[in-house]
Amino acid sequence: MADAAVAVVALLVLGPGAVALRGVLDGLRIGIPASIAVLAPLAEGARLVRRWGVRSGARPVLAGATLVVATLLRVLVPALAGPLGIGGFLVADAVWWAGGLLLARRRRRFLLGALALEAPLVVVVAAPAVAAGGVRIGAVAAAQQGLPFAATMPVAFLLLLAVVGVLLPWAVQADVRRLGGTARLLGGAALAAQPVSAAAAASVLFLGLGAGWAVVATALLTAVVVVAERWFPRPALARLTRVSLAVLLPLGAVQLAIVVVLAVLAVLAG
Amino acid sequence: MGVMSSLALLRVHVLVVELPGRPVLRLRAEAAVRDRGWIVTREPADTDVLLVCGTPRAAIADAVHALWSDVPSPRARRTVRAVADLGEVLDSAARVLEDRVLQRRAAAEAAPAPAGPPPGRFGPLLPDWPAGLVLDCAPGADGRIAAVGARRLAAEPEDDALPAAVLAVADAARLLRLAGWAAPALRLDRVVDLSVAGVAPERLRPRLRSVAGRARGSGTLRTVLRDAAPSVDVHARLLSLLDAAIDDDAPPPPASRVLIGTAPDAVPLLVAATEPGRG
Repeated sequence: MADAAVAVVALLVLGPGAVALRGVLDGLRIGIPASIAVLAPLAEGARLVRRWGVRSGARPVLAGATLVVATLLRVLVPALAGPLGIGGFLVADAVWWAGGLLLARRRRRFLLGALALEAPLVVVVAAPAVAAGGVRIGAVAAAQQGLPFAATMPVAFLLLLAVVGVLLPWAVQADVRRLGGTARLLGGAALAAQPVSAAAAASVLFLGLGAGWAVVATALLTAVVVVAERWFPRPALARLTRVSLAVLLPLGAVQLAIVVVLAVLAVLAG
Repeated sequence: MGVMSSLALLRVHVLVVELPGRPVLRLRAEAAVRDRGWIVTREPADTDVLLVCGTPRAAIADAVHALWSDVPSPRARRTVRAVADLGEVLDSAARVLEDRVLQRRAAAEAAPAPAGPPPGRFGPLLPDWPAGLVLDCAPGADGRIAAVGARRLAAEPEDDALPAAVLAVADAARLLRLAGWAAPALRLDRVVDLSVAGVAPERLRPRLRSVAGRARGSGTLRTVLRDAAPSVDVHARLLSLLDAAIDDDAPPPPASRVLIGTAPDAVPLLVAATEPGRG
């Protein structure tokens, strides 16, 4: 339970940290001093907590809460997944998509996009499971005592950060931006926390780090994701769907195939 | 004033509404908003202050009221007609936002929300949309636009002006925002703000060259724009606006607008790319 508490506290600290970093980066561009811009998470929170009279109903609030739960689940996987092991990350993804579906105006299109973006993640999560010979967190960590998986399967490592940390938020961002009040607060919190939870998952799956160092690695990887996402325009979901199926899924499949071949060779040699 | 109010007033979100004919006043208002460290928003649901730039005549008053009805409380609405009034108008908006008694009373007396626009209508007031332009788009069986009706509401005269190059930068920022690339759009917003404040163009050219270089070299941007609006080369239009701004020149006229056969989602970007430079 101590690990779970550390994970939740890290999320509560690093999520606002991601908002603060975005605020500072935006502030640098529009001339707002960093000393003011860094207060963005507090100021945004205060603005949205004071809101009332938002004509949105319960559904957007439920959607925002579901997105927050998804980010929480993802950071709690190492502590609470048990026999489900790293499969818990896919459960967290499913919860994220459920939240997005509640917000989506075109549900069928959103569902197709969700399936297309989730496909490379299934492949990416399978790679460390194959290399470790099991899905349990302990087995995945033990298999990285020598060289972390980030070194032996860098494509899967980068795909996880890109898809979970950038593309999953992009898939729901337009719908969250239309929200106000509590729903906006929850949706915004989830968008802020998602890069953190992606970095936390990458720290466990591909760096094999325990609670202490995992927090440090999560903070660094979160900063990298927040900075890197600004280098690219945010495409529409239809475009993300095509990119996922045409580029990300094949890349992940090639990475998984290499891992499978190496695992088979290791078994034959042993 | 409580801690929450103080924090909230650090980043007041302002929806700056340009009425037909007042693009320069809108740009000056946005610069004044950002100068306070406040945020220019494009979403009514995320707005604290609705700042109307110009005189809301009868033809456009309903559209302003529709925007206002989507703004949650606490909220403030102000109309500005002259640049000299901007400071006082924003100050008074901040005072209204922190007056809880006034906010409760105003919320209780608020007029009911008007009926939404008919399906397929764009304008006359939308974020990153030419003020006063109204397009009624009828979809065909395939969901694409089969017929378009267009009209423009009368524009009020504006006795203020900015160089064409500055308006071109604002147009380029609009295209980048509609393309989903906020970071370079913010850099261009800063260029506009500094130009409005009187900074010499040559001091701003390095920023413009940097954004133009990124836009020119981004294959992702080119693909995103081609996907979003295949009937017009929006990427070329963006670069022509930036090149004109770098050369301190007026941009070339845009390509002609063809909306028939395009997806309704593409309309805002297509309109932004084919509208003559207005800022």
